[in-house]
Amino acid sequence: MDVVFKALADRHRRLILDRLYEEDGQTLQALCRGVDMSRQGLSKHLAILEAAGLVVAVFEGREKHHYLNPMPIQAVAERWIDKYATAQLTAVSALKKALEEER
Amino acid sequence: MTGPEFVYETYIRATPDDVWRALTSPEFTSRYFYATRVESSWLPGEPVYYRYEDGETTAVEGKVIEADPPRKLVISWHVLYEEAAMKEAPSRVTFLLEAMNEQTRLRIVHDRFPEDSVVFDGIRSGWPWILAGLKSLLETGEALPPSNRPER
Repeated sequence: MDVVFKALADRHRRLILDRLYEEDGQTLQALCRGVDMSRQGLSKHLAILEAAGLVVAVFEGREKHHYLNPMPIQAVAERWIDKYATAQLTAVSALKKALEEER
Repeated sequence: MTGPEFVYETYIRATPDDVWRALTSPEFTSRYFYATRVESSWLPGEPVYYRYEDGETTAVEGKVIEADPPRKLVISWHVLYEEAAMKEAPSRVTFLLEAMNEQTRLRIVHDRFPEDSVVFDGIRSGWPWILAGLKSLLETGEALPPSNRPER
């Protein structure tokens, strides 16, 4: 779970997740247009998100598509939020909230 | 790419055989899949039903497109639990299982939604909950409490 928090502890990486939430399955090129980051910086951040399981890469031919995987955040939500808060808070609303705090 | 597409991935401390069984047996799905019992022969071309426990109403119906136990299962996905979705053309769900160390990596790809799909928003919150319940059931013997379940 450390890697998940570490991955989420950076606003650039949260912005990347926001962009994928809006449009899932983007390539590096497409993501580059939506964020104010160098291609190299973006690649580095994506690698960290992938290592944390927050982004899953799927190859279609030579193209690499990036998908937001909410499962690590679901695990975080189960570990803490479900324990202390009650039923209505679903993992996805927790995710949404975490991502929207950015704006 | 046609329309939206979702990919979910989780690691489960269980063998691919056990995960396959949990995906394809009604005794398992009734405990983590919105209390529905899955029914199918799991042969290509044959129907799949996720039925509510009354045994009469069906939440989702589809067809087996490909079944390669315990590695890959592809089914079509026609939602019946919501009136607006019933008219919508079926989408497609692919389950990919791979042994990794002592765990199974389960990846779910849900794609081929029609344009302006009314189904995919519900799917977005539904799958993570289902997957988390499946993981919990296989690892601890307990599914998640239904009180935490998102609305369909």
